[in-house]
Amino acid sequence: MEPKLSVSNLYKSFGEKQVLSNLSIDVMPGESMVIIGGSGTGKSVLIKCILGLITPDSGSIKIDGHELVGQPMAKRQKFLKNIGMVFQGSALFDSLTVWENVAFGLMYEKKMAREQAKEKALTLLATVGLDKRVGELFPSEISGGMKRRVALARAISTEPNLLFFDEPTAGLDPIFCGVINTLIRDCVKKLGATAVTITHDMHSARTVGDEVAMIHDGHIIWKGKASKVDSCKNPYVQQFINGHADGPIKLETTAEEVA
Amino acid sequence: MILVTQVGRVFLKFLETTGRLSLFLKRAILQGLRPPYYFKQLLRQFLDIGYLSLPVVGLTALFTGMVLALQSYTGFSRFNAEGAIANVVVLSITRELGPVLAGLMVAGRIGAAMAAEIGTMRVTEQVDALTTLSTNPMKYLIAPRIFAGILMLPLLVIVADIVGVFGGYLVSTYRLGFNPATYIKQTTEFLEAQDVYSGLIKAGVFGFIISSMGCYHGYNSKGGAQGVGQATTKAVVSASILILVTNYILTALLFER
Ligand SMILES: Nc1ncnc2c1ncn2[C@@H]1O[C@H](COP(=O)(O)OP(=O)(O)OP(=O)(O)O)[C@@H](O)[C@H]1O
Ligand SMILES: [Mg+2]
Repeated sequence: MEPKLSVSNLYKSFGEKQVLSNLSIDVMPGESMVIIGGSGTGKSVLIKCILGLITPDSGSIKIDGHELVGQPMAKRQKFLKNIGMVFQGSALFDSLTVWENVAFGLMYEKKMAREQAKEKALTLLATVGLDKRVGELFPSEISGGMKRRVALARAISTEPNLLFFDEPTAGLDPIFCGVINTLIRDCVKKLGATAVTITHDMHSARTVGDEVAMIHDGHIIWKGKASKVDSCKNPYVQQFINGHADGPIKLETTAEEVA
Repeated sequence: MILVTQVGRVFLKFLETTGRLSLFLKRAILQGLRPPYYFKQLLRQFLDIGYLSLPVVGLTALFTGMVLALQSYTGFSRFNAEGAIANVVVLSITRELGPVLAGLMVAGRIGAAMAAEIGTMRVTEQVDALTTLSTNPMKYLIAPRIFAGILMLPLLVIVADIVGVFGGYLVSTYRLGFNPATYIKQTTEFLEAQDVYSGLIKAGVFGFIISSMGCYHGYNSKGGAQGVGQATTKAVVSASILILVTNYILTALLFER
């Protein structure tokens, strides 16, 4: 079977700093892939490369077998129609109300009438646990956790078949973490979408993911079934999931060094 | 030697920026001319740039017209040329001061707002979010602002012309004792169509400059609040300077026989 998303030999550096080096990963259709890895290891950069928001230095990114690297925007646009994304910082449009944010893709991309789009937006907001009144507020008037949920509703509004979530549960209380995790699961299981989720939260990783991949030093150092993460012998993965300070992953600087 | 390399570096930087800017504007305009069109965005910009700038531009024009009449009276009365005041007022307003002052005021008001809004959207990833919702930021954000700038500035300048001339009329009739009918006759007598439309052409160009600078610097802002602040400053300063330089060039072109 052809992978839904295939990244191979991807390189990206910012000036001197090599962020991605020789990164390869495949995601199969209908699969939920979770990417874990330390802060600043390039997880967000990887997703932005896939979406074409950052141009990689070299390497190949294919969706449904079509090469994206080096393609003009007009060509990419076709693929973006079927992609949904939740940004790490939510990135809600602050000049639009919450429901208009959620309905954005419906109105402009799917050409849905305003009233109809509003109705669907409010339904989507309800599924992430936000009621009608919130729909009329502006993003600056809601809490960080609420923004995350609105961003999620916006990303799935047009029912894309490839979804990216950059830390969708960061800053949410445990109950809503559960709600969001179930929602991502449902997108994959019920809608048949393919999902790539970045998370630091191992509990989310186990519930949401079919597969887990760990990124370190610019490439994938371990990949396997979500059910196998706990029993895997990889010292990097072990250190990460158990949150030990000692191990092969070194902090770039420590307090002692600075002092 | 160091000086030469410095000059060279500045010159290269200038060429680079010019190149980037031209590419940016070419993309914005070409893509903006093709569907889908975002009429709501365009309308919002019409309101912002045109309607909401009326008070600022009107006040500027009014006081400029008034002070012109007052100043030329002190000067002209020394050699009994008071009859030329109406003429001086209408010509300076329509040909130069209307478009230039309206341009500078709008650069401060709108250029800054555009750079700040788009810059904030850029640093908070809203511009990226637009792209992932398969909306082209060039069409949705940039093109409406540029087209609205080109169309609205001439309309603002028509208002500025009328209000400015009216300011001169007020001072001349109420303060300097001119006969209203004579003043109006003197105003229209030597006024040619070219005086007005040359000003309107300038206004269109200034509108283009203001929106382009606001959008370009906003779109390319980096970092956080500080980056947006810098973008705003750059947008206003570069637009103002470009307006003054272009004004000279356009005057030379439009009135050279
Ligand atoms: N636009 C940019 N310019 C320069 N450097 C950047 C840029 N974007 C990211 N980086 C660098 O790339 C590295 C990876 O950043 P990235 O945002 O992908 O980290 P991350 O893995 O998502 O971390 P976190 O889990 O904290 O979100 C960081 O060291 C960051 O400094
Ligand atoms: Mg990140």
